[in-house]
Amino acid sequence: MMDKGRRKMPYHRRKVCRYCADSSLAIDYKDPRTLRLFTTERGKIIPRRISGNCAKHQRMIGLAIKRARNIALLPYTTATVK
Amino acid sequence: MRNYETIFVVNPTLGEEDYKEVLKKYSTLVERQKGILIRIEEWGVQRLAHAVKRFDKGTFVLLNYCGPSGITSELERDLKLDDRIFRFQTVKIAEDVDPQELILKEKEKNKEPAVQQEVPAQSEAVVQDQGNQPEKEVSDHDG
Repeated sequence: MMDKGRRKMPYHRRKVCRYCADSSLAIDYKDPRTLRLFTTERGKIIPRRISGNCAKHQRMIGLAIKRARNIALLPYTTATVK
Repeated sequence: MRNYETIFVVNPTLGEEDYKEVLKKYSTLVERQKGILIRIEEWGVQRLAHAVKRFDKGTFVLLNYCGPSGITSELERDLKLDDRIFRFQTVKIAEDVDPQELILKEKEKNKEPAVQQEVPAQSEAVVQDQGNQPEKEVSDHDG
């Protein structure tokens, strides 16, 4: 019964895009420390649904992470790191 | 003129002289291609996040320059053939810029060194928040 009730009213908290909230923040592929916040421990890109970014900024984050991976500032995966 | 940024990774086992030569070669190359060099950043030897050509460290160099649209292909052709360099990447930053303006901005930036200290601490707090959330969401939907 309690489970049913919970299913009908899921707890939602509106997440706000950090980059929309603060326009002084810049997304830069040369800054792996910030980009790491948007990857999992395994190095995968965290989805928008979880990171809370807006579509525009999530695209920019994704692009920046891929660029950083290309020049070895971020890992593609942790499996190869010993 | 367009504003480009090229990062390349130099073999870290190279001697000081060879490294300087690489730097000189590419900065003169930019100028020879009718480009204007705005800034060179030398990041020094950095640990790579993943192995590239069996290297686990590399010397990073960043060139920020303005030039006509053909300049990157000329630069990249040389970078590709150079066996002292094992990875490079060019990114277009802006189209139609005035190089003199960028040089001025660069000078101003050098006058007052960076005021970035607070940012990392804040962002860490945000991520912890995010880390807690996925579990909640999943259980809500499944349960």
